[in-house]
This record gives sequence, structure tokens and C-alpha cells, in this order.
Amino acid sequence: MLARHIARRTAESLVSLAGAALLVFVVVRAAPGDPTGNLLGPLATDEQRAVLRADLGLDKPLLTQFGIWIRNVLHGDFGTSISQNRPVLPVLGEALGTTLMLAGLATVFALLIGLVLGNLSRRRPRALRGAADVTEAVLLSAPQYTVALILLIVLCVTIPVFPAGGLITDAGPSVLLSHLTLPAIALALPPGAMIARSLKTALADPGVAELAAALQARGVAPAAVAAHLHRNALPAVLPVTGLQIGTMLGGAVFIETIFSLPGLGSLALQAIGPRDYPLLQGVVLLVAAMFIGVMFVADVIAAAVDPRIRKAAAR
Amino acid sequence: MTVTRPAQVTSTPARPDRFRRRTLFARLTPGGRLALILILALAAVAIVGPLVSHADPYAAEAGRRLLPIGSDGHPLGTDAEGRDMLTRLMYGMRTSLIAAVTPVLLSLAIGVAVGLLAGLGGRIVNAIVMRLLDVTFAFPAVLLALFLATALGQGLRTTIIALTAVWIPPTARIAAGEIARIRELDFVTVARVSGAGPVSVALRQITPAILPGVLAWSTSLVGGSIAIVGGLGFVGLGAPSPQAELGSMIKDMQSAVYTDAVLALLPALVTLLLALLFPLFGDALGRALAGRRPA
Repeated sequence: MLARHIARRTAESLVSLAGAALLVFVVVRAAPGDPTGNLLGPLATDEQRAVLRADLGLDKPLLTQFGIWIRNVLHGDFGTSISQNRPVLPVLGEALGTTLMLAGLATVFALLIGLVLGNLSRRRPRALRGAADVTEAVLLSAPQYTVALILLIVLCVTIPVFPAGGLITDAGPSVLLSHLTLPAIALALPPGAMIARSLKTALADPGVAELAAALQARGVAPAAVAAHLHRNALPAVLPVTGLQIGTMLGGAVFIETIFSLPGLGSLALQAIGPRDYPLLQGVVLLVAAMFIGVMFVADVIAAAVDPRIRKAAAR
Repeated sequence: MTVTRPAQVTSTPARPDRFRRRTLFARLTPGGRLALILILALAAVAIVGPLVSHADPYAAEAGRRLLPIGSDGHPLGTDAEGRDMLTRLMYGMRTSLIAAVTPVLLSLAIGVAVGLLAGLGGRIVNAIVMRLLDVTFAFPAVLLALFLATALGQGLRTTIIALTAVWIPPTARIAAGEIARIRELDFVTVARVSGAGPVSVALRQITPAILPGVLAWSTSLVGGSIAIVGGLGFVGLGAPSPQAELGSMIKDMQSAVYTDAVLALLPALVTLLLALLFPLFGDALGRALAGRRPA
């Protein structure tokens, strides 16, 4: 059963990935401006342009061009970055490390926020519940760059607890952590609120109250009851968590800018100014691949812990 | 030959509910009411302010750079180029609101149309439309907007086009979900059996029934729209300088973060406020339109 579900989700993920690649290709090709204009400058003759176009394969039919591009990408050849004048792949690799560290730490924060807020919103004094709901709503909609700026000003400038930006990777884990903590918090707030909301909904299910009562009646300790209830909420919370991790991997553009972190988001911004399409294509495609990959993993885990999902998929 | 009109179906419950008869405003939660009032007030400032104020948002004076809040003639101080902050905030709100609301309205219209097509067009059409929409869900919204805006070139118009493209798929998905929920309900079947054609059913029965839910969703979406418009402006893709726009104003004030923290935060705080108010109002609107009492 599970194997069939995985096979089906793998096929779906590959289709999504191919669709994403096609979208990236079409958008870049539809963009105004001829790439030869950027490469040769305004003084080039029409003949020189024609030679370069043939050189770059731009005179072939669009579908052929797409085929060539996909084949190259599958071989690890993302083309040459126009602004950095070197292959895109190693450039992506350098930035990926920073983004993975940032998103990894942010995932830890998001899960913590989700667990705490999701549980608080079921607790008794009503004021506490209200406060948790308001906090969740604010975290959910606050633009991350405004939160990042406020954190930067309060905790780096007014009370200098954290370094104001940049990334130092070779001075030990504590220095690295001090540079990543604030951006990771700013990045984790909306995803944390999303996780909290899904956990709250899952725990509010009428069946959950019956399960809790049944466990209590059997004399199960409160902590163990809570563990059972959270285990029960996993299938609902996991897909949301996967989606949010994907968002954090690709959506840190503004945060990386504010805290001067050399990750994929900063790379995308560097590519925008000089219209470095090969680099931008590479970043967007890599993010889409990670996004689809994370959601695939979350979905498979959810199916592994919840037989209902497997059965629904098999039908 | 007499033409029988499709049975007039209203949603009047057997016993009129007093809660449902109150005005929409009275049915909002207190928080939703406050959010609506603040949104209207800020929108009024953004629309009327630039009309009645004689201050020039572009008049830069080197000698008046970064005046503090409460300075003579500049109640909210001046920015890094000596331009009046209050005036620029009014113009900036106007630009940002236009750039954020327009894509939501466009995607509302297009998204509902796509949703109707997917929900009522049969199984094959539904599968094709949904797969096409799925492609855009492979990207985080921020990155997709950034990518589209880059490819289309800088400017407010391209920001609006890019955001419209980003918001159509989720809006269409919400609409399709609502349609799937009500498609088989009795009042739709009654209309169909009475001889109403598919287009008539789509426009007269389905659309009015899904509109409250979709409208509430779109209202909340304006908050996310404000956030992305500001973000694009922040990285230099929005309205070209010197036009005042909240995101580019945040960027302009970044150099002042270490010296004039409060002043540097002003455009960010206005953006934050706008981004929070719309979802707050949207959620309350959704509850009120669905006839649910405040929780």
C-alpha cells in the first residue's frame, strides 16, 4: 500500500517539477529584451548578433531549445552566470549552504512556535487562549522584512545582543549561531503560526476529546495522553509543515538582504539587476525542486503514520 | 406557450434568525469592526491627503536630512534626502494600496471564472485546469512574484501584473473548493431541473453562493499583497524612484537604521499595520457573511 502511494506521489512530483521547469523557461524567454543586447552591447552589428544567436542556440525552435536546456540541467549544466562569468552550479552550491543552515534553524523555531501556540490556544483561562489567537494572527500576516527590521533595530542597534548582519562561518558554532538566530526567528514567525493553526485545528477535532477521555479513564499519565494526541495530529500537521519548510527555503529573499546573508535569496537579488537570467533560472529551479522535494517527504511520512491517507490513495 | 422561470430559491430559513437580519457591520466581531474603521481611515488619508496637502513629496533639501519626529513643519520628520516623511507616507500608502488591491480584484474576477470552468466544466477540463494551476504551487509566492516582476521589468504596472498572476491560482483553488461544496446542493439541482442552462446556473446560482467565501478570502489576501508589494519595492523592483512607495521608502531609510531608528522604522510600521488589518477584517467578514456569530 505504502509503496503504491510513494510511487504515485513520485510521479506527481516529477510532473510538477517538469511543469515548474517549463514555466521558468517560458517566462525567461517571454521577457522583453534580447540577451545578445546585454552580451554584445548597443554597438554590435546585426551580423554579430546573428552569429551569437546561432552560437547560443537561440535560432532553434523553442521546443528544441527547451529540450536542450533540460538535458543540460539534468547533466548539472545550468549555464554560465552572466554577471559572475562562471558556471551557475558552483555559485548555487556556495549559496545553498547558507540557505540550508538558515532554513534548518528556522524550522526548529517554527516547530517550537507551532507547538507552544497550538497548545496554548486550548488552555483554560480564556484570556490566555485569546492572547495565543491574537499572537498567531499577528505572526501569520506580519511581513517578514518589517519584523526583521524591528528585530534588527531593537536587538542589534538599541540593545546590541546580536551581531547586525553578515555571516562568519569559520569562527566556531557559537559565532555562527549568533549570526543566524535573529534572521531565523524573523523567517520562522509566519510558518510557526501556520503550524500552530493546523495543530490547533487537529487537536480541536471532536474525536480527539473522546480519545483523551478514554486514555484518562485508563489511567494514562497526562504527559503520555498529550503525546498520544500529538501523534494523532501528525497527519494533519505534517503537510503544512512541509509546505512551510519549502517556503522558508525559497522565501528568505528579504531577510537575507536585511541581515546580509549570502544565501539563495541574496543570489536571486544579485541576478535581478544585471538581468542574469541563467543564474535567476538556476535559483528559481533549485528552490522549486527543494520545495517539491520537501512536500514529497512530508506527504510520505504523513501516509506512513496515517493508514487512512494510504487507503484513500490506493482507491 | 408560457415560459416558466427557474424556481426562485432563496436561503430564508424557516424561522427568521435575528442575528442574520442585523446589518453586516453589526455582525462583525469587535476586532473586525476596528480593523474596518482603521482601513477606511488609512485609505481616506491615502486618497484625500495628497489632494488637500500642498506639501511636495519630492522636494528634497540637503540641509533638512533626517529631521526628528515633531520638527517644525515636518510633524513626522524628514527622510534621508530631506523629504517630508508625513507627505511621503501618504503618497506611499496610496501607491502601495493601489498596487496591492488591483491584483487582488483582478485575480478575484479571473480566479472565480477559472474556478467556475474547473468546477462545472466536467472531469477532463477540471483535471487539466487543476494540473496547470498546480505548477505555480511549486514556488514560494514571494519568489514567484520576484521572478515574474524581474522578467517583466521594473515598474508599478509590472508589479501589478506579476502579483495578479501569483494570486490567480490560489483564488481559483478557493473558488473551485467552494463550488465543489455547493454544486450538488438542492437549490442548484432545482434550477437545473427547471431547465436553466449551464451558464445561467453558473451565473445565477453558483456565483452568488460562492461569492461570500471568496470575497472574505480576497479581503484577507490584500494583506499578503501589501507585504509582497512592499518587498518588491524594498529590493528595487516596484515603483521607480523617486515615486513614494512604502517598500522603497523602507529601503531608502535603511541607511538611517543605526542613527535614527524610530524614523527609519516609520514606513515599515505603516506597512506592518496595513498588512495586519486586512486579514483581521477579512476573517471577521468571512464569519459575518457565513452567518456565524462572533466566536
